[in-house]
Amino acid sequence: MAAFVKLAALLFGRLSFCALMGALIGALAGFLFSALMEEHPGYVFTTTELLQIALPLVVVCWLVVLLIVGVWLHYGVAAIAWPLLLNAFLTVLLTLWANNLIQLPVLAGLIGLLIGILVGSILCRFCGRIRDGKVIHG
Amino acid sequence: MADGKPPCGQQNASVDTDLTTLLAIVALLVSAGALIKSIITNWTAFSNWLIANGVGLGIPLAAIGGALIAFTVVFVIAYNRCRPREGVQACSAGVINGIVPAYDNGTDQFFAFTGMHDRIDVVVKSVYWHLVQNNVFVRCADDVDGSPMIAGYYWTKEVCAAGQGAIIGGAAGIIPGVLAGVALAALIGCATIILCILALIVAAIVAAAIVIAGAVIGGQIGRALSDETSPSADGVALRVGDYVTTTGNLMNVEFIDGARGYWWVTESALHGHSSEAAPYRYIDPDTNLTVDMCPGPVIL
Repeated sequence: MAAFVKLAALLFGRLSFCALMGALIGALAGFLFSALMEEHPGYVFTTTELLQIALPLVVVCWLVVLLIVGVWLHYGVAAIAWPLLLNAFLTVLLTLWANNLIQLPVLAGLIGLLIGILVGSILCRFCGRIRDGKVIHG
Repeated sequence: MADGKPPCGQQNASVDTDLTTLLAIVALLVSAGALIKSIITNWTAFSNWLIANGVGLGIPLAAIGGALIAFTVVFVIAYNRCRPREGVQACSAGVINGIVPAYDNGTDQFFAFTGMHDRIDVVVKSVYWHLVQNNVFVRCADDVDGSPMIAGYYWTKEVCAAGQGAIIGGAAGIIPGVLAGVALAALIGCATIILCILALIVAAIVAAAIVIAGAVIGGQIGRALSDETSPSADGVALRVGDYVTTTGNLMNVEFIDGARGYWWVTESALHGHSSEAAPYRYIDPDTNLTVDMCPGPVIL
């Protein structure tokens, strides 16, 4: 397990905090969308349907990552909530759009993860100083 | 201000292995869709039930994914809190500026697997400033000089027992979670696109919630079965204002933005108590703690 932790740090350790958040959101959204594609094999979703799917996915992915990172990992909910919501919105929309285009459920989660890294990295550049400062108790 | 004082605050981003490990495992899980599907189809009783109730593969896939991701989160958090880490053996001394006991907030009390070990924050003598400097993050006290601090984590049995309990409880919740998630989602069904995405979300969330509930229960049991401890030296509980020498594995600790800290303190010695109040200046231990227990040249 120690080797895996090192490998993970090597793979993702250079990513910005926003990119890590985007990656988590994208992976979750892509995975759930792949499950939807399993239920409707070969179906190409319309733009309206994609937006209808995106809305609950944005909310769920945002809340899940907020709970994990903001609460359990002690980064602080207030510190990350709004930038994370923007990140979730863009990442989920792009993940759904790309996966609907590619139509490969097996790769949906990974595609989402890559899109999340891209979106998060761009957002971090725009926002300039969103840093990975944890809320340290005391 | 003395020469050579490290600049306070962030110098470079630190790596949070909680996040990177979590992401790596989530990446593996979301790539394992084909494997999960083959598990579902080979689980005869379950797949027969799915067919009989007209449920496709997407709902169980979402439920299994939700349960496994929730378990991963619990496992990574608990594991990272109790694994030994590679650092250097070092020794430093100063005055305790703050003490953060384990389970000092409601969230950690409830989700016991997120608890952190007892920590002391020591304003170190200026002779130990080279130990604080790491080009990642330098933590300083709120005094006028911004006196550099080194954190000292004390291995806390409660934290690791809670983590072990949470891992066992979470693992026990996986199968019931998946079954409950699938059963509830099947009630909603996949008649329309919007109903289907809601059913998938319900499947994943119910499965994850049951795993987390198992982890919460397991964590509380583990915590209850272990002894409560507090940072001590020579059998005496440490207090803010105590002069201490701490020895242990010194490293950049991700839980405090990559600042220097002992993970964990292996030995500590008490040298008396400051007459000042927190926040302390480095001048206090420089003046009043002239002799500490650290040997000769400090190793880094």
